[in-house]
Amino acid sequence: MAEREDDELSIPRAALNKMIKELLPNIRVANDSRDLVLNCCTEFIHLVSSEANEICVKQQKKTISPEHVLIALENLGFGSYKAEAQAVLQQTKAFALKKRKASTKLENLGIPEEELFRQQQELFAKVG
Amino acid sequence: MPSKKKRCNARFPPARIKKIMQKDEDVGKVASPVPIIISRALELFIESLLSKTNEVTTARKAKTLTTSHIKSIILSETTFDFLKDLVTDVPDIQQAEQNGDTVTATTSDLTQPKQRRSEFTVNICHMLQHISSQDNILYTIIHKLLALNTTVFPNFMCEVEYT
Repeated sequence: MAEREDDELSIPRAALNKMIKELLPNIRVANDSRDLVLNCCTEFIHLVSSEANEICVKQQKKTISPEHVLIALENLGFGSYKAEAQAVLQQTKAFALKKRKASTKLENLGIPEEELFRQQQELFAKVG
Repeated sequence: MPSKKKRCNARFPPARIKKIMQKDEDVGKVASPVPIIISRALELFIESLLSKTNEVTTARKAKTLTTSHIKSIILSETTFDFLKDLVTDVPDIQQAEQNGDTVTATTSDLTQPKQRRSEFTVNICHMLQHISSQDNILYTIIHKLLALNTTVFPNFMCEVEYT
């Protein structure tokens, strides 16, 4: 992992470049403009984080939850992002639920172990 | 059931976002879905910023999206107020276009209308005239030279020798 100053922490350039290309395929974007947008991203993250943190503290919670972030977005004037943010949250929850279901499915086939063992013996007998 | 085409553009790494969040000492624990939501909000933010800036770029008929275009958007919307500090060093668009007296060279100089270039010429001539008020012939020669120039030379320096 490349050693990087904490102060230069930002989202990866490649991700931003891909986004710019998809959004504005026919426009040239100068390098310093890309740098500026990267800095704007970092500022945005800090802004939302500190607002969400304040809300979290007011609710006397210790962990910033997704709901705190949604309220923060509303307070900061980015209420229009809430709908999409909520959609992503639903997707994440659904995905996590699916994962959990899949793992329990394997454990609880519904057939007890002795029965499985018996079935296995029968199969061996058939082959032998 | 028809599924909506999910625009999975560029998703930003949640781990990186979390690191950035926790650079702020006040921020403590962060639930795991949080960086993912912020990633989506960030996508929307960039989309909004870039498409608005693009409107400015297109309106100015520029081929390249510059920091000045971004600055003008940041200053025009209150929701982008938090970005003002980032663009204090960035030149304003109005400055670059309206200031006919500046000799500052920008790459778009050559696309400036001829009127500005002749203004520049006139300014130089006035300066020269003032310097060499008794040397009318020299002034005329230099004036003609400048008039023939089709490009602007911001570093043009004229040395007048008196013998």
